[in-house]
Amino acid sequence: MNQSADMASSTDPGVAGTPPRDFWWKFQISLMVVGLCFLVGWGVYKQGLYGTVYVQAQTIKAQNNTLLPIYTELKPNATDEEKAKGFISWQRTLGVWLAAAITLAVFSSLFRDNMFYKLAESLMVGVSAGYWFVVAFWSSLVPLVFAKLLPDLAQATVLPGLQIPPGSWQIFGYTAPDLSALFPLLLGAMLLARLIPSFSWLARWPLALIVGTMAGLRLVLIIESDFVEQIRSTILPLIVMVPNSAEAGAPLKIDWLLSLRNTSIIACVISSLSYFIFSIEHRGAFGRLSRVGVFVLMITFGASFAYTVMGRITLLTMRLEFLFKDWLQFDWLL
Amino acid sequence: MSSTPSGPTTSKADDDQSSPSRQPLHWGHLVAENGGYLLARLGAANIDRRWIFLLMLLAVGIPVLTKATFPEKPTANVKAVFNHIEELKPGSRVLVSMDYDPASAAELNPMAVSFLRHLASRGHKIYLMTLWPAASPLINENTNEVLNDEFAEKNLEYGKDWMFLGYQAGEVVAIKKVADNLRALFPTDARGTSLEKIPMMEGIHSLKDFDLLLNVSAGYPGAKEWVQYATTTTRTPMAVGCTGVQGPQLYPYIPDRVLGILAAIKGAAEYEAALSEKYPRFAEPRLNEGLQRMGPQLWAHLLMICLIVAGNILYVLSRCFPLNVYGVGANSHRADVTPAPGGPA
Repeated sequence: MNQSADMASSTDPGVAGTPPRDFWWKFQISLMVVGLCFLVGWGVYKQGLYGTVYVQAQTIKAQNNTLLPIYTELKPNATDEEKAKGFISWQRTLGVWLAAAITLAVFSSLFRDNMFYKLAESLMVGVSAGYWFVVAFWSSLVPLVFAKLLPDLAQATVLPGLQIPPGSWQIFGYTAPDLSALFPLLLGAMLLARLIPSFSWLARWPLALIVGTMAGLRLVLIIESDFVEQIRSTILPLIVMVPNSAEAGAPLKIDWLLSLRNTSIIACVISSLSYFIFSIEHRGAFGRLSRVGVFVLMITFGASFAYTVMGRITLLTMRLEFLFKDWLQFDWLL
Repeated sequence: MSSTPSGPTTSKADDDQSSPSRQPLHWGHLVAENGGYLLARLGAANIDRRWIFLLMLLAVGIPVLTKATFPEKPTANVKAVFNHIEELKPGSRVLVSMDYDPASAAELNPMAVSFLRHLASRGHKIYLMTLWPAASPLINENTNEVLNDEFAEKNLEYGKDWMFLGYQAGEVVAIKKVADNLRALFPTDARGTSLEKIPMMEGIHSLKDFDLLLNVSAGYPGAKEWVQYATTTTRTPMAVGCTGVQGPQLYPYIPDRVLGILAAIKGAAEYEAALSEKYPRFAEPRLNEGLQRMGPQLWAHLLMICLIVAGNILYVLSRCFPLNVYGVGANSHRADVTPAPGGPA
């Protein structure tokens, strides 16, 4: 797309047929004013209650018989009676408003790059990294390392449901640690040695183990699933005969549709593969075959791209649904 | 096609029949010149991309606001998955690996919810797990909404009817471990309860002990890895719900390694249609997010098709009738062509 009309670079005299160079400034300001007026007006209409989240408090009994409060979130379309039994959760309400603001900040990058988009982008990266670290800690390090090395302490503190096998060894009245957990812990620590230049060579050992394991796994399993199985699936009858009727011993007839499908699969596979054979010059009959293969590949890439586009539209749909339903709470959509 | 009074094709040559430079105007020239003139006036050659963004926003936003939906008919792929779940004996053990995150929830959450509804309706035992760390909150939300609220009358009990094994790191190694020895990978469930204490885990040691594997997949690790590292060796029947991007990569696995694929939001909508047809209680529009999201898809795709067609027409016109900086046809330098209004004096 031509960038000459972009207001960031609108110092040129302009091109006939394009909007005037200050058009986007006016458009931007008008849009902001209209948007703000709408938000205020909608707030007045909804009596200030949009983007709010109601919760209901319940009490559950924990395993150690202590009573714990839990809060169930009410849907935006909850009745007034249900809402009257609950109350507004300001934390969750803030979450909805924050999510709406971040969504709009990300959308704003379509207009042009700006600080709100950059802020949203940085937040996304930071929150994702933090979330991944916490999840990995509690789902891997705690149950697979901490619970094995200090089972009694893990059971008493963070994993009350941890089952310690009855015949486990005891040392001074405590369950003996499973020292095999030290090995992966040590390998993990060695990976971090890359951060210290003088000890960076230590990281080669766990890396070698990872590469070797993956190569071994892939060599055996992928050859079977993606090579042998795929070849087997391509060995198809070119002419498919099916019974004429459901009766036993009925005469056979040709299933033209299935035959055409099988033939096209085989033709597409052979032509696609021929394109990647570079030891034969792509001329004459072989050249034409590989040319067909290029078309098959292009159709495949086109299908992939079309699916990708469909996915991106769905993402936009979901964000608009969030803005309209959860944030603005349009009555007819709830 | 005739020239317009203000268009560039009003030429002096038209009036001067005796002019030696007069050439008979071919219809193609008229189209090209008028088209090029319109092109210039509309600024189509320099159209700002933000107009297209705005059009796309309207194409998606208006159907969302009007709740426009269209009927869906399940295709063979979707029917294969649906029928397989229908034909399983009630009480069958189904492992559901929900390998996605909020970024792909728009496409995959409707599938995940439909799978849960279908499995619960058939009375199968549901074992949930994930290889994606951000999936846990989504799984908790879905199980609360479907298994606890929608099936409240069935009083599905955690640990007897369904359970959540939780997230496990390790990607393909974790998949291999599930195929070989699931208990070594998951010492406890997501709530910290030992698997020994969970009744429905009795007799479950590896993937071979399940009757079906359902995978909701957003990428790596996902459906492809489950096929490569697990079901190829265990031969456990597997069905997949995946993002559109993954669809073409997975189709070659049908039908030997994968029973069927629900690809993109279209697959989700088709599955919802099949479920609503069989179980009318799920036909309520608010329960069919996939179907709801197909309305905006239609209009967005129509817009894209129109833009592609318009772009190609304008491209052909621009080749026939190159523009100059003043926005009128290249032929405007000719003495026999009157400059366009607003053009150079």
